[in-house]
Amino acid sequence: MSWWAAAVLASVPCAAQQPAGAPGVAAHESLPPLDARTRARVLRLERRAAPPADPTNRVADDPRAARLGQFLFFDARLSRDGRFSCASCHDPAQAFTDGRRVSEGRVPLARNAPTLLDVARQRWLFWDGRADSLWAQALQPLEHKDEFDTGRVELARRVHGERELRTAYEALFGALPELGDERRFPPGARPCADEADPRALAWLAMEAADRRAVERVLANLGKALAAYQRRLLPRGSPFDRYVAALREQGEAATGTVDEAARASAYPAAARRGLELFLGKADCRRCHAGATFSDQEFHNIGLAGPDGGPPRDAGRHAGLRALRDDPFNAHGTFSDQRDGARARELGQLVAGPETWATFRTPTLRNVARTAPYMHAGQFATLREVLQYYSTLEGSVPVGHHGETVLQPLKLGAAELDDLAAFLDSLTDPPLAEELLRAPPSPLPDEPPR
Amino acid sequence: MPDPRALLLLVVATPLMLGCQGDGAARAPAALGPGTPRSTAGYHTQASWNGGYVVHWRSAPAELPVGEPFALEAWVADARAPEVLLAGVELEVDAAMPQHGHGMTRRALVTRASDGSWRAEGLLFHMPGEWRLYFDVRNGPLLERAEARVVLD
Repeated sequence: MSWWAAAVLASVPCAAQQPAGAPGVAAHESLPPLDARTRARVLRLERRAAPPADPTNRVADDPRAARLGQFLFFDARLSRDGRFSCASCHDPAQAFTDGRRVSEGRVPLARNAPTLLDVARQRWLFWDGRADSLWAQALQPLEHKDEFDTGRVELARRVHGERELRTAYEALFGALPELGDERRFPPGARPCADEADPRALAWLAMEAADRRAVERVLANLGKALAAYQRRLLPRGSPFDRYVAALREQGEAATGTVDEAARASAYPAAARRGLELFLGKADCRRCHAGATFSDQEFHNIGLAGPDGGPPRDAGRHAGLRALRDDPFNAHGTFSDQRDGARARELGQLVAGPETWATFRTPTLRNVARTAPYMHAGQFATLREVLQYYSTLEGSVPVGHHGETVLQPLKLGAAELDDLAAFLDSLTDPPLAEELLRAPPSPLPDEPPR
Repeated sequence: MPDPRALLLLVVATPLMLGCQGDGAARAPAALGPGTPRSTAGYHTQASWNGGYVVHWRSAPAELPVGEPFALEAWVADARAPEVLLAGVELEVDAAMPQHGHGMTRRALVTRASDGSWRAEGLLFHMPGEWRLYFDVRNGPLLERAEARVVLD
């Protein structure tokens, strides 16, 4: 039989069963079911449970807090000059990233803006993990001189001075202090790295109890912002549908065809890419679990800006900042100061091996979150895959560093399949009402 | 068919002395206490490299997870009386992936229970693959290590 005759014969039954609008789906008819080990590995990537609770934030799952947080998230008045809101770098239309190599604050920032989709499942926040909760993370851009650059007293006064914001805040957290008293609460007062800065002097001149009251307002604003971000939980990617079909099928898959792939219209290239991901390419080593992240920090050999060793300290500095952060899980403003997250802070290992390590990012929705890596080193997913395939341009991680990475030496077809698999992790958009500013920080009136 | 995650391959550690070779003093465990034999059911048992001790250990949860914190319960016995809890020694617990040149990203918090057994909390294996659990039994200046090989899929 000639090659073309074989191709025609092979294609006929597939074409007949191919669902409209699902190109290439029928090709999975040639794919056998997953073996038991691979199937078990796939099921461990399933989003089954709700995100972990955050006991350091007592309003983490309070809908009123989520509403206030959503209002604040889109409110550029939180920035010193009204130029920035959280959505400036975490744009809902771009999978809650900004699409830039590194974010643009008042100056170009050092790092790429990670997605907020599924962020409630992250154990550490920022690329260097310098925050251990979403609410602690939310506070840092507010005062950062290159970002919002708004002092904490000013932030608290803005909430105090606007009727709806104040009502929403006080319904959740109780009465605000008398922030209208500028003698007690100087508008520009804030801690600064330079203690001779007049704003820092004004901050230090405040009564300790007043400073503490302002810090509590700041922490509570972060907790509301976190409550909103905890709701950014998309579902229903092609991969999710495939895993659901796989689970529904049970362990009885004994046929010659991957029926779960057929039932869920999972593309053949993605299924092949999935097997590579879990097998030959061994991406699961770091991209594990429902988030496709081990929630830890690694140095993957990316060079510094000059092509030499990396200069960004990453987790090495992040660990210190985390421990020193008064808003961490063990701090005064945590709602569970003696819980597991607080204890964990004392257990974290800092050493030379943490230099230039960065958080393993989620791969959920990765096709929508270019550019990639902590400083946007790669413009496309293909470039990322090519890097892991060859490690070309990488620098040694030093003799203290881990040696997880080896060049994968993947062929072009394998790279295509891995890309197809990663593309299958793309979720449908979230509900529209989560993607824009609500008209008010207060909950909607119940319909009469 | 057993779940591959439960696949614990416990290697009977070859009693290589490595850097401790020739330090025969490490073979002198603390004096036996007046304890009565304890059940080892449900525990994995690991001899120390130098053969002076055995460490009985189990994890909570029993099926070691990837990416989630877990705890270990352990007790130490003199190798000559492996079912009698040995008091008067200290236990430290750590783990590593030698194949990848890294350890855990956190230190275990090890505390002694009132019965003389030990509990190590806050361990976390952040990757699948082969891990080594290290149980360091310290008796004054002397230290012996028991090592368990654990494979997580």
